[in-house]
Amino acid sequence: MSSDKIHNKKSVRLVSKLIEFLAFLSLVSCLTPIDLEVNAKGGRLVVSGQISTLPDQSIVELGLTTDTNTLPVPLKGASVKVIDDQGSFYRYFEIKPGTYSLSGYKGIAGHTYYIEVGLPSGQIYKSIPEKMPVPSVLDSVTYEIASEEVVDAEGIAAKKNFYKLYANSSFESTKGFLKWTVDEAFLLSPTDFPDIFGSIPPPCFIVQNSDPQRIALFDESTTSSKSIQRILIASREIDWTFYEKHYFTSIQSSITKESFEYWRKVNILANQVGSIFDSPPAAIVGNIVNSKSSEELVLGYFQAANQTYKRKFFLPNDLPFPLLFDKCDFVGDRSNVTAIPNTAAYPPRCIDCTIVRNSSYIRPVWF
Amino acid sequence: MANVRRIFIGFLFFVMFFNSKVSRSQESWDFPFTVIGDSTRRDQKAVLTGVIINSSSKETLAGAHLSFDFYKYYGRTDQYGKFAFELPQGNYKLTIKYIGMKPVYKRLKVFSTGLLNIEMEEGFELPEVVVSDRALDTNIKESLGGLAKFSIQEIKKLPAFMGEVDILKSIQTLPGVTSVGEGSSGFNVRGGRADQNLILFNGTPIFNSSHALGFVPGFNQDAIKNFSLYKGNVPANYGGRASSVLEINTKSGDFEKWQFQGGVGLISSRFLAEGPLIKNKTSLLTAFRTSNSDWVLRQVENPDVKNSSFNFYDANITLAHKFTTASILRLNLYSSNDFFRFSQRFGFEWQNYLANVEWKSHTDRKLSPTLNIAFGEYRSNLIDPTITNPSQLKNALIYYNIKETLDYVPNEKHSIKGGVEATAYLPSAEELSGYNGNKSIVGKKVEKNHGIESALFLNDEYQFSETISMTGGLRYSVYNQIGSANVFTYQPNVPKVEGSIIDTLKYGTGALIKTYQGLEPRVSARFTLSESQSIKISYNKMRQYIHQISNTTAPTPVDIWQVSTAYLPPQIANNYSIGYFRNLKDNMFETSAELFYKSMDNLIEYKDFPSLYLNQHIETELLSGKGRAYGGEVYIRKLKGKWTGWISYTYSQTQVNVSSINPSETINGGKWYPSNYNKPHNISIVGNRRMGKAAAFSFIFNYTSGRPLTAVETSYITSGTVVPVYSDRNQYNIPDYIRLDLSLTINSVFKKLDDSLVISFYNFLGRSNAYSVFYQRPQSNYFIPKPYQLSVLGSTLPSITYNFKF
Repeated sequence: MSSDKIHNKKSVRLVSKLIEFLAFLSLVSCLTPIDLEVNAKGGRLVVSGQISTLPDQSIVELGLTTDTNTLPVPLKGASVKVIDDQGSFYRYFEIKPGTYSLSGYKGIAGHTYYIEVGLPSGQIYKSIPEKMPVPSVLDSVTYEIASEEVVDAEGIAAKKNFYKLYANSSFESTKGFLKWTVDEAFLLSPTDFPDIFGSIPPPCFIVQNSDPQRIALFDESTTSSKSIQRILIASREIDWTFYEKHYFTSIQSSITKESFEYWRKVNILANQVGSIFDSPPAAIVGNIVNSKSSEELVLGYFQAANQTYKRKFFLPNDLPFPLLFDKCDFVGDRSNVTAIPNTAAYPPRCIDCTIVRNSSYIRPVWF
Repeated sequence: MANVRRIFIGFLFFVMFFNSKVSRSQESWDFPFTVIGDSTRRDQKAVLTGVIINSSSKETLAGAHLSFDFYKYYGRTDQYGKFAFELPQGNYKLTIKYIGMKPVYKRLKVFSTGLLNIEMEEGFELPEVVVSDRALDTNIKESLGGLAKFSIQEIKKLPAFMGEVDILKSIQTLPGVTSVGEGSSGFNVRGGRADQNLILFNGTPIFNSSHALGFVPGFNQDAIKNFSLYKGNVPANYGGRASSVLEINTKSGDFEKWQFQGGVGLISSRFLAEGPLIKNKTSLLTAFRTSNSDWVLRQVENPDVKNSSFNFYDANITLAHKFTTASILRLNLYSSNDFFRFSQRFGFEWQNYLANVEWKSHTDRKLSPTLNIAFGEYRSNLIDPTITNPSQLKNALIYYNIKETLDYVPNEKHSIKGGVEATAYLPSAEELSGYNGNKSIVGKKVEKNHGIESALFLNDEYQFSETISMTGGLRYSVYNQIGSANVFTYQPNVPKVEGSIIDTLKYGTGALIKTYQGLEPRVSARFTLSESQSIKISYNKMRQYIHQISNTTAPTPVDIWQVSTAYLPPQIANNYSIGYFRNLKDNMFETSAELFYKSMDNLIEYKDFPSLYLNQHIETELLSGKGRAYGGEVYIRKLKGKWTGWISYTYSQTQVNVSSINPSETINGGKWYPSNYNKPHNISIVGNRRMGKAAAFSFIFNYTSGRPLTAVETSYITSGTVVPVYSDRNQYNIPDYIRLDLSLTINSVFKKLDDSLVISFYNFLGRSNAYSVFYQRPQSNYFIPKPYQLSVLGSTLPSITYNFKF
């Protein structure tokens, strides 16, 4: 990746932001949802995942697009394995519908890997091999709490507080490509209504990407310096999830040029605003091919990522202001165990924490 | 808001229908005779010659229409304002009309050969009778189809966005002319792309003709004299673009007295001074316009917008000197500058510099040479002020143009125009550097390709009889790409990508790299069926050797202009049109119906997600395709009466085809698909109502089909990020567009001052037209993106401008 590519990425982003200005230029702009009838393309295979140098980070997700304009449905029962340049292969096991995990093996820098996916229908898909890059160093991750004005889809502006994470990294002499993601994990304790057994409902643990639409990328060849400071890698709105202990795991991935290019395109689409100054969007072609039909468009990408991470947690006391969201703490007379719990007075998540997306009762080992 | 509208409409109706002081001009012919020739002689035939000039600027008026005895004999002045008619001895009623000038009526008593020089005053005939200031049946008699000429006075009567009189927006009310949307600086003529329009400013090509990203016109309205749009037949003396020619001319300064005029508006203020440096010999015109727009942004609560800035200026200087009455030298200078910054996020800068010297002379009535030497420079800068690695990307196109034209007019039925033209395109290197003192960025320079385009041309217009006239033209253009440059050789039969380069040829400065050449025939014919009906057909072939590299729906100020190379052959267009023209009710109504077809070769298209900046092998990002456009236009214009105006309707289809043996170099599977600006239906209604000398009312109604859209058909998630999957290119459409603009001009606001107040309402219906459709994720990341319609002008936008002259 040369500097022209990274600059082009910047340029596209800049040009796409133009619409924000145009939207306000006349003071009378407005934004309204519309019904646009499209012919949804269902049945396309989605393969996304990676082999990582970190344990538990080698995950592959399989799905099929729907023709009802909804997110893909998980693809169960597939055979997934990664094969290295020595011909050795390692299996991914299905840990939940459509999600496959590799255990007992970590990627090694300098080795080449590709994935082979066998569907229940007998179709075989393979990825274009990728060589595991050498890692760059994630020196530190800093954070700040900032108040920002956010304009929602209806054009209404409101001030909100954000927890922002910045990466500071240094490079090897070989200039490579970096991508950052930040995962979060937090505790959600349901409302502990008094009961005659004195039982305490188990807490849920929610583990997810903290800023999924942010794609933080950097081409090391665009700077003459051997380090880069304060790359914004996540901006998380401060909400009720900060009532309890909140972990942030910042993962820095050294990726290949091809993977960087894929993510650059995803980033362009994520920033598309449909203005007349946008580049025409297009479907992104990944690196997965049907071994019998190269014409088939397979969505997604399988990458070899040399990863390193920093983890820190955040407590409500660390905030410089009080949180004013609905809490799950029981309010009332704890001695009155015969009273019927007034569940309507609490947010639904406080009654059943498993309704929160990505929640489970499984506590991460490091939590 | 609704009440305000009701009150305003009520006021307009009151003024329009109960204003009793509506004046009318009377074409009475009871003034004295002007005697031509020697009354003692009794020649059978007399030759009447003369020159028509502007009374204030003393410029000759080319193309003025003369009619004797209501078109018994008629014709036009030549390029130097001269005319010659052979007339039988007798008495005549002569009418002379010219765009933007008050008509002149004279009674002539012609005895023998004689001279008649006429001065015309700027202004209009009282518009209740005739709004058009040209011969009423020009559309029937003119041999060129698809030619639209306007004076700036005509355009000033139309409603304007934020009070800014805009030539480009005005021509979009004509049939066959559209744009991709509000805020677009380009326009599309009969299915042509925005870069296929040659925009000549005082005869010099200009590469960006707008301010504020297309919202504000790039030219000072007070300095403009007139403009012409050739959208059908383009005479052979114009070339270098594949679709149309828009020629904009500025005024010369007044040769007799100093005059000043200007205006104060919401967006900009302007001032013009003109007058003689040496009376009747040398004149100077200076015009300056600057924005006063930052206060608009400061009214917005959003901090990003409040901290944004856009400002611009433009300046014109015209120095004209008459060596003799037959020899005029003009020096024109034009400069414009735009700065646009959105908060601390990004910014654009762009500048135009034009300078040209034009020398017109005519030794006798038949032969008139014109020499034009021009220099132009277009600079752009894309600024990224982000904290981590602030940078700027600079581009500049420098060009020189020389053109010598000879006009030869053997007689009033025959005129020949020939000449030679050459343009050198010498763009500077594209340069990436640090911004705001950032030294950590790795700077980069990419040399751009150079080229010289030259042409010989000959145009012959001949009137065979009253019923048939023809214009035939031939242009032979030659283009040479010259060094220095590195030319890459690619592996054959595989997609052109960086990895398929197998060799690099290095060429030194001035070395010839690649030559393209070809004939460009231009033919147009007019067949008059009766005094009020004619049929016109035309065919054009046009070659274009410079291309705007713009992978966006509308052009941006930072687009790169790229000359043809071995891998970028010239765009070639073949334009065909046929039209039926008919005037009704003694030329009160002018109507036409035209059909057109355009085929285009070597159109530039783009691979998906191209990298266009700082790319030394840009051909790896481009594709070559074919284009076609076809459609029909209907135009009805009312020239007389209380209400004047026009209705235009265009149905058109514009399509592109990109196919290759390599699937990665094929778009939409090699099928024809709609171009970005394809809008099949386009209706414009323009109305003018002058209320005596006190006021004037006008409106524009516009309806167009929604432009094409590449839509999200499904989505998937990878690493938590929702990735939309888009359809094939341009398979859907955004909603249709409807807009009504109103304008009220009140003259003589202050007594004894030549001034006016223009109140206009842009988008009076307050309709939320779709400026664009984009996809926004819902609050949860686990739902697919939903389409939203963005309306830049979601409500009525009023404006007020005060104009003065003294």
